[in-house]
Amino acid sequence: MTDRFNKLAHRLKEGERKAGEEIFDYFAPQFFRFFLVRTGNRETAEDLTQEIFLKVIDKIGTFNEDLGSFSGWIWQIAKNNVKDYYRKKKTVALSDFVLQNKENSDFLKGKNDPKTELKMTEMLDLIKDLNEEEQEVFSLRYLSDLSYRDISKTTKKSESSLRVLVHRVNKKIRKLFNNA
Amino acid sequence: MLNFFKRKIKEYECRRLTKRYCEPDKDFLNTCREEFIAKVCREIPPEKAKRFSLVVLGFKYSLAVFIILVFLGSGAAVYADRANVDYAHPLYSLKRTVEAVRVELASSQQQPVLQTELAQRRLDEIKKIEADMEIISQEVSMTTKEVSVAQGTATTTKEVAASTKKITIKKKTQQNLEAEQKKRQELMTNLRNQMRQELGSVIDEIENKRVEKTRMEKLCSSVLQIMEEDEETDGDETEEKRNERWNRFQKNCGEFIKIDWNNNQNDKSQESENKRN
Repeated sequence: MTDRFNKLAHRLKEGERKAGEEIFDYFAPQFFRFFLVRTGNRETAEDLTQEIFLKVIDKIGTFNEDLGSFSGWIWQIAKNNVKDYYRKKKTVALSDFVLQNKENSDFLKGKNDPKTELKMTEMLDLIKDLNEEEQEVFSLRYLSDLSYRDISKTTKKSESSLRVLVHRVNKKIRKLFNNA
Repeated sequence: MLNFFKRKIKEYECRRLTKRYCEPDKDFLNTCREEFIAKVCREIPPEKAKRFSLVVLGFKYSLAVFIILVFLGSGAAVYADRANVDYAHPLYSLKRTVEAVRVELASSQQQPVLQTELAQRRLDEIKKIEADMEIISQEVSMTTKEVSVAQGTATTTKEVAASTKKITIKKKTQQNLEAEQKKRQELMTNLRNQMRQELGSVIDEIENKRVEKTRMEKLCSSVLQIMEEDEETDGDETEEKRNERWNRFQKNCGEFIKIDWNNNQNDKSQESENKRN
């Protein structure tokens, strides 16, 4: 993974459009999910996703392949972006996460089973209660289906500590379903 | 067991729904991608384009430098020609080049006039060199005298040592002056040859009747003036050639102006005889 994205970053530095497209297609959905989990608001997640790619172009010249992987570098920018966002906004209502969006409420209130609907709401509440690290791992492991190896490169954490984190999140989710 | 599977199915369903909920909007992704790629194209020009732009930039700079040099060069050339700079001036060779170009570019009717003008210029330069050489020869004779005086007056050992030093310096100066004199003599000979060549060309033009009759008188009188002032017989020209040139001139310009070459010749031979006596 590292080599692939480092090469892409190198090509992007040289102004290769296709490399930029590949990077975007891979990272954009991941970033969106991550920002959605962290901020709880689709519009904010979209804004942050857009912002991060613009920042990538501004900072691509400073990326040094010898100092680390491109995915680690780009994820660091994403995390800093979220921090900046919180610093500016300070408090974000996580209730936005579920019901403020029309699409979202349609999605939940549509043809779905009311029980599942309820579980979904509970699930989103659970996400809200997860800490920063757990939210990060949740978005990468559960929503983006990344392998432990890839997540470890991104988060700069060892695979074993990631497994512990994921286990902790799993436990919380299981608890939610056991109570049903 | 059944409950376990039910729970697992619910878990899977909920996870699937969460994933679906967290999927980014396709329209948003497309817009965002377009914006990102547009910025990539705008702010990171492709490497080839960069190289090309560097080449273009280099070309632009060299073109600018070239234009400035051409501008300065042509300015200097025009100045050198218009101001008719001295033979010792750094722009003298440039002036000569411009003159050659002017002769090449001049029309066949303008050429004799221009060549006469150039012959006049050479004559003026020769006169200037002669004047300078006179000064140099005076300096040389003064230095020679000083050397002989210094050699005669020294009596004590100290005086002899001092005079020897003085003599060495003076001799060096004398040598330099003599070398300078020789150089100027060579230049003068060269200029005289060129002047005569120009005059020869003008006479050729007159002989071949390429000059308008209305201009003839003025041209002939200018050439006559230069030829009369060119008294020396140095350079590559022999006495025979000189006489031949005079004869050709007399033959072609005789009907337009009064030429008293024979009298001039007699005067000159008398002068030389007087000098001998």
